[in-house]
Amino acid sequence: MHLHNKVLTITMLSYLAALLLLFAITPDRDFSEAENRMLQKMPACTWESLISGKFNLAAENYLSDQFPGRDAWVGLKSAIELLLLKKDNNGVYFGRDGYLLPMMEGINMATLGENMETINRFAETFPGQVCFLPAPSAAQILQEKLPPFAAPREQLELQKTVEEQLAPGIHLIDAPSALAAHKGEYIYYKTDHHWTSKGAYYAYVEAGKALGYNPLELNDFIIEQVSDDFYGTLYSKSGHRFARPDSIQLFLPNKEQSCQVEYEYEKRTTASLYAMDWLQKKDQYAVFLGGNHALVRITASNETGRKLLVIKDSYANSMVPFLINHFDEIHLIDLRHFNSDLRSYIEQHGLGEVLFVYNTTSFAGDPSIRKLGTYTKGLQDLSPIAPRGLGKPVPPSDTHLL
Amino acid sequence: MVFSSLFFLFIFLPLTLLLYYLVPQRCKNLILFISSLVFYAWGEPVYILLMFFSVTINHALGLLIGKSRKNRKTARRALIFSVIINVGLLGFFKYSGFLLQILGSVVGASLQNPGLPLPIGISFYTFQALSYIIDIYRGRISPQQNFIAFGTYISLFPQLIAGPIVRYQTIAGQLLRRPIEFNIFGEGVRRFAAGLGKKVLLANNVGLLWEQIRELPPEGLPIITAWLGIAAFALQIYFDFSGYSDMAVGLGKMFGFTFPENFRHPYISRSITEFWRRWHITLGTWFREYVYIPLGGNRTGRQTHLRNIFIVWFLTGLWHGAAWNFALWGLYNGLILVLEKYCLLKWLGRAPRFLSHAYAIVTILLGWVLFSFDNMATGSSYLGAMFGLSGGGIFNLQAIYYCYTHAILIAIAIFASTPIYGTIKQKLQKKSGALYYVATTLSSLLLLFLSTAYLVDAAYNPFLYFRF
Repeated sequence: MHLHNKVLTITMLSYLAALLLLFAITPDRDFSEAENRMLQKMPACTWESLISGKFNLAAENYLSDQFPGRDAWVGLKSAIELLLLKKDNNGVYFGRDGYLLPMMEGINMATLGENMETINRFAETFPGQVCFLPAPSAAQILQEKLPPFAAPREQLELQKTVEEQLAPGIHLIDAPSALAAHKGEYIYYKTDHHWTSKGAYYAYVEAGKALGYNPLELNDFIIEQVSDDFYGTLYSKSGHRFARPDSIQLFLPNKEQSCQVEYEYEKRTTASLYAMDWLQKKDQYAVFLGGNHALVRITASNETGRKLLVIKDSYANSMVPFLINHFDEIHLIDLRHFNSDLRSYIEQHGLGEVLFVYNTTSFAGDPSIRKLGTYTKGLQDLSPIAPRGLGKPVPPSDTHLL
Repeated sequence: MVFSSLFFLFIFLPLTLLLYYLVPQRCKNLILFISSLVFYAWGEPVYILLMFFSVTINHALGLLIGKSRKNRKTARRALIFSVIINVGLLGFFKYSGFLLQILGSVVGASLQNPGLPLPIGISFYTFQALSYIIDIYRGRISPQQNFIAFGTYISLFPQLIAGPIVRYQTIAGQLLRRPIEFNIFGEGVRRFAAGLGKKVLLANNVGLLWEQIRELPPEGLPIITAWLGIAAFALQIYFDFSGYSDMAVGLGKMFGFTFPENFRHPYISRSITEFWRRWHITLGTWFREYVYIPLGGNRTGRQTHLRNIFIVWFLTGLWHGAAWNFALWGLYNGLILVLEKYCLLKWLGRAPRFLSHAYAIVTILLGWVLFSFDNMATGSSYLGAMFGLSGGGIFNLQAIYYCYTHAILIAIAIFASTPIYGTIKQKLQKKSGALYYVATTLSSLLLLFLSTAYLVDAAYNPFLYFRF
């Protein structure tokens, strides 16, 4: 009998037993802050779930989600990957200067074509001015921050396709150039896929040319830093556990301004554009307008006589605080959640101008754009919208995350 | 269930070991049989019936053939019946979609694919059952009287899902009596840790590179990227497959079994003939014993010999998957083997080592292209890209990116696919036994530890943001 075989056997068995014991005695967590998702709880075992195999799958997920020291194990893997010089994981580049940048892969050009056509048809029918602001992803603007030799071609192609296919009647706002002119500044979060308030500010300045307002100067704002421990979606998605947190700044106008924010579907009204309680949670970007809502109506006392409809994804949330300075009312519609009659809403509120704010990648893959068809065709023609790409983890369609 | 999962490692394995070592000797097979059925039923619970049916019918037929030694006619009938049942089940579950597709294209209609999920390990245990029945018929072994012991042989979870294909004669004795001691258990742990590391640390990670490259459009794919991609696949399939085999051998030892070896450093081969002596050895043995030799082998003249070779390799190809590309891959291997047999081997023996090795590697890699694309059109454009026909040039930025972000991983993988590590260990053992034991023990535990980290994170759900 060799001593080492005994040692190895006993150590290995104790290792398995110890982790199993820890798993049994540590309390279950509901939510993973680091990964930003709900964790699997103890599944109920019924005869049906056992026979169908559902229980087994849930039990496996339960073990791995509630595995003792889960975050530390993920961190260990992350450290090994960095040692091996890996520069991306799960569709996120580990860029320079602490930047995490989304890889743009698996863009469905067919969906993009459909969406462009829908938006063009909408503009034909809509009587007023229609503007389109494509918000670029960080990987397109901050190319210097990409890892060496990383080449996200698709993002540029995407941008070009959008520009080419947009009907001439729609006013294209060249946010990419405006942002590129300031690429040395903190215009994108390092751990989140959104632009910062400053990034949104430059897009807002550019949008003034199309929407016809004189944008406020930077020194018309008091910049208030409200967070310095923001770990965003890219941090969660990449599994990179050595990234530095972001800070969040709010740009508050110098001059006193009052506004009313009505969350239509939730039947809730507040007096602030910011939902400060989100700063205590994981998704701190939701400080802007409390995240995404189907329909939000903002009224301000600017006496400009102008009303703007913004059809948007989450990029618009941090831009609205700038835009509100030039309108009496801004109506925000998020088509992913909006299920009302678009036409009657527009007519009822007398909305004469429309601005689309979409991240280019998110726009390319978003099936809910089809809902715009209700404006031109009427509700009855719209077939139910099937969720796309569910269950197939490979193409990181970031639709759900924007 | 698979070995490379947290659930297997931290729940199924400890509980099974605990039960196995608690119960008295005569109940150990029963524990193994039951736990194997649970293991089998885990993914597709309904298929437990299939396994039970397979065990029962083969056990009964084995007994019948064993009793009918004097009466060749009955024995022969039972044998044919058993072959039909076993091959029929395999054919029904694995090949019905493929056969309907062929039939459909012959009659010019599109037939409905039943789309049955493939019962896990069916290709492996069917072959074990066939070898058992045929060997009884040939009088080489006597049938296992005990139902539990036979059930344990067919369903034994360590080798159930990915081999090795263990012939009954190899473990007949072990089914009755098995040594239980720390020495063998310790060796088993070492072997299991090595296999787990191969699968989780190497195969999965080089596999990610291959997944990325195979998704790229083959038009405009640069030469370097194409070769890097298929090399990554070659490493992935080797470490995946041999990792499973190592884990099987290791687990076998933990329960006192000795399984045959399945891989012996195939990528150091200097010909395809040598490659197939080192790659999936138990499958090659099976086809030789139960198909090639019964067909007449090489003793019946050149023409039938060639026919036999191509039948065997056509079937070997199809065994790997129910699609034309697998059949083609099998025939490709058969063709190269014939070429080597009749002329190339003489030259390869005289050629410098690096030249014959390069020949073997390139031939193997080209084979893996056939193997990995079930869409023939994509496969052939990928082959074109490897030889610069895609118009993508030699390399591009992306190729450099892929190379430097995977250089260390691939270097480690190549090193691990050679016998150098084993040689170093042997030298160390001669020099200092104590140091050797400390080093191997620590490296096994380290592999177990690192694999845990990768397994925990493997469950990283890419759709993290449904809440939003």
